[in-house]
Amino acid sequence: MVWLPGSDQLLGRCHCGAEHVAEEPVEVWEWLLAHPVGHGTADHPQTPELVGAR
Amino acid sequence: MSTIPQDQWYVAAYGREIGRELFSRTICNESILFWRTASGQVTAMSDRCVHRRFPLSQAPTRLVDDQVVCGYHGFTYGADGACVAVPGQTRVPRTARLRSYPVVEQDSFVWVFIGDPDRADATPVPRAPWLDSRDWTTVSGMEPLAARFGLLVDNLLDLSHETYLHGGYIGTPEVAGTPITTEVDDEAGVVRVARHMADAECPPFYSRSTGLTGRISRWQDIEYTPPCLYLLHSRIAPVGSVPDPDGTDPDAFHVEVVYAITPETDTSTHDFWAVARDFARDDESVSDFLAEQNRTVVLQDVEALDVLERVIAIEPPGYQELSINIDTGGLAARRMLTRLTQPVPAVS
Repeated sequence: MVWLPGSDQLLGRCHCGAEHVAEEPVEVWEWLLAHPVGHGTADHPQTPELVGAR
Repeated sequence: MSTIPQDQWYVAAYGREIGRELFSRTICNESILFWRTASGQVTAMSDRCVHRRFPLSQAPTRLVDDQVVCGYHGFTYGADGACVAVPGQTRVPRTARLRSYPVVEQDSFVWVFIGDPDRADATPVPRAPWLDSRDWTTVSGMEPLAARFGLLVDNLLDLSHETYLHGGYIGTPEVAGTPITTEVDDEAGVVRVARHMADAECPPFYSRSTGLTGRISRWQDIEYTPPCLYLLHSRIAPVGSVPDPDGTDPDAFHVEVVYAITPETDTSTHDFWAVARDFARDDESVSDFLAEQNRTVVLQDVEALDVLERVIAIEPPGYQELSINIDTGGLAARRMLTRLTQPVPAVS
């Protein structure tokens, strides 16, 4: 799980290759542990929001 | 239900603590007697006489050659825990045997297996090879913690607390301010947390030990093997310096910070700590400084976690914690620990 540089977001990367971006770690761990549920192609990472852009 | 994982290796002591004197320590709620045989092997057995449960670590119990003679009624035990003599009769009851524990002495630690002894051989003992390597110089100690071991796991998996709790020692603003990468290796049973600071203030712990002045590149790479062993690979170097392509790293200073997190009871912990370095290896003033500094840092954690344990002990059920990005590694460790407490099928 990578804390995306310049943002408050976390990128989760499953062993199957699927990725998921969220704002807090509990959600990302739940997504990772739910494999393969929700690990389809629709879960491409979103573009991280820069902290400074808020 | 206890949250202490069973069928696991735990650090019970440093090898230097165990000699020809009877030595007792409670590990995972079990009172264990340790001593070293005449040939140098460490033994571990229950610290309660099978007769009237007198603690065998208690005087006037004594070690005679390789036998323990209970100081209350004279029940006598061999190095394997079997009773070999009882007072006033020749027949020794078949069941007169102290529970004995699998023991491994490795990397300066005495490891003991808590749980079903038949599972010990198949369970790897985690390694910390720097601690007794000739190429490294190590200082170490152990502090008692009046808090559950999970609180120390939380503490060590999230080093952002260094900035606030350990300012002036190992904490600088960049530690809390630098994002981390967390990886769970379920196959190896390891949680890894990396924080690489490219341009950071050098805290006194490292400036005085390495002689580096000015800003530094500071890498923290954690490897936690639940439940007991925690490694922090710390790399300190001038800003801009990176390891060579062949893996050598001549411009950097390396420190291996090792913790063994051993539950004493459900709400107390043995906090073993060690600091190994690959520089100034013969300089005793650096050894003294790092030992004093790290012990101070550990005691800062102990003070905070002791308070936290008292808070948790009296809080009403249902308290909801809030977790943020810095907690990613700690949450992964908690999950692995929870899984280790789930029952596993018996060995056939």
